[in-house]
Amino acid sequence: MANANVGIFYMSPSQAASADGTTFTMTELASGTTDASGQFSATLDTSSIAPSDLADIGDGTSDAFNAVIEALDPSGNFTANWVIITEGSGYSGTASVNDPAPAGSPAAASAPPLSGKSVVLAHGYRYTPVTPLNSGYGIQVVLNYTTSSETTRQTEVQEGVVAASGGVSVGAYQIEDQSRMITSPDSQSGSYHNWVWADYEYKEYRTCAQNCGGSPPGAWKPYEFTGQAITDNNPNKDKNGQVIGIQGYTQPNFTPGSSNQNWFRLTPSNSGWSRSSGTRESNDVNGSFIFPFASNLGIDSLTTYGSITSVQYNWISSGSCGTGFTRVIWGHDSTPADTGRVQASCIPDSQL
Amino acid sequence: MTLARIRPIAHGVRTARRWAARALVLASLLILSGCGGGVPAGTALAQELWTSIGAKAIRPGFEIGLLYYDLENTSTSTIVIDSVGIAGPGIGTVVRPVQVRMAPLRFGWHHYVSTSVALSLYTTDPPVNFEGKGCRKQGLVPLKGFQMTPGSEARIWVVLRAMRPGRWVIPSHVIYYTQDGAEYRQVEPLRAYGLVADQAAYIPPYYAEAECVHPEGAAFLRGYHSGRVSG
Repeated sequence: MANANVGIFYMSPSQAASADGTTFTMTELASGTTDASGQFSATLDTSSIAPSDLADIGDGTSDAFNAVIEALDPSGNFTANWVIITEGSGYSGTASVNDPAPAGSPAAASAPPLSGKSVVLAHGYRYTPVTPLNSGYGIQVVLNYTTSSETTRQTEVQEGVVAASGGVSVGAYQIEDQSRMITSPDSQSGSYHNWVWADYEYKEYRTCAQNCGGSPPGAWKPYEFTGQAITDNNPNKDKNGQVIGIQGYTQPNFTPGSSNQNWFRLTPSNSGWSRSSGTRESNDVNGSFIFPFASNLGIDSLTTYGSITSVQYNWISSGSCGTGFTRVIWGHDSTPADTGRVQASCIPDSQL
Repeated sequence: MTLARIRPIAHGVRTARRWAARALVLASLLILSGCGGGVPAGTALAQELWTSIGAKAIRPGFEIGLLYYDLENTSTSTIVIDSVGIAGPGIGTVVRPVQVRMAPLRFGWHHYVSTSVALSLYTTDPPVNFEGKGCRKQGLVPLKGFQMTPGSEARIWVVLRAMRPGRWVIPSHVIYYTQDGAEYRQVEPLRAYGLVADQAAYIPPYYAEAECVHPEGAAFLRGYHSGRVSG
């Protein structure tokens, strides 16, 4: 898109919370024009984003936020792309036109200005996979799905992109738009390997080049954790209309590593082992995680170990994991401190 | 300013029309950032993720051994370990380090130490553990001057002695090393914590350690003794 007007906009939490049908103008973080080859660069002014509205996406720092990058060229071609931007880090990427001008549209002398307007179209609820939760005999796992004074947002879910034509596709990851207000811990003891889910409200927003008439592109985005208890029994239905229910997780093979680097030994002297930052791994739960309000679109969330989404493993007494067995926290072909999914098992010493 | 994080925009409706070819290239969006001072931060060691490991309460006079932290030289030149910063609330007052050594796991990319033991809290010196078909004893070497060629991997062995009741925390480990003649520091995100209490219950040595003490010529750390074991 040569000579297009570009705007990078931020939707505040209060705007994101607007009722269906509400139109608002987002905060512009940067603007400019693409050059003849379609390139654009800018430095963002993030001073308008409250520190409390920044998310920790697993690196231990609350510094990430959602933004939409819009561009409108002289012919009327429009693109709106939601991305996650991290303060202090660069961002680069490419964007394709997702709202083309009608064929044969005359080109203006210069690109029209962007309005930064957006409108809430609809909302819906969906249980969202948090992580597969693993425990073994003699082990207690505690999932802390919580909030803190430093960090209130962490969950990332792919957006469902609704084209001007009405077609739907899977988009980029987006952070939950509203702060978590409620702590919902989950604890399991003994052998346990199931997916756990958090109930989220999703909202569809339309991003408008100039005005919000017609059918410019929109996106279903994760809005807010409802505070319902974390559960392993998902009451939603899958693509076939069947209740998703309990979805088991199959552990990969135990891989101790050539120098025993891939496992941690829990003993009665340990008070807990916890992981609170993340290599992230996508969760589609065998395709059962869908957006029914976006054409049954199968999407992914991310397992994120972070400051407010952590797992802790404790040693507990168990006759099923006595002498001759070891309680092990491990990663598949990776150290437990690096793995995208923490595993836990009671393993016979002979297999170590 | 950095250009470290790149997240390609992977979406957009793919129409059959030629519009898709009209791409907007977002060359760079920069956000100002700060940086630290002092000994420069190094990058030779693999950056680990945040983990936290606790220790059950022990009585004054007892010792515990922490074999928690993996170091891996992912650079292309040898580094020499100078020191490891063990500091935090209660360090030096509630507990004090009485031994800090290196536990080699791998020399270079391929030469593994077959006797290395698992990450854990130990009550023996050196750490021993029954694994697989028999006992293993972790080799320990002096920390200062320990050379790590590219690909080498090692752990830090820290023995803490309980001094008086209270809580202790090591919020992170700071590794000081020399590379190509220059000194660097790297903060590794491992948080270790524990408690010292006069009335702490005695937790017997773990069975897989106790049965390897004599065969491997190891010794129990202060406060622990043979007899009862836990498992």
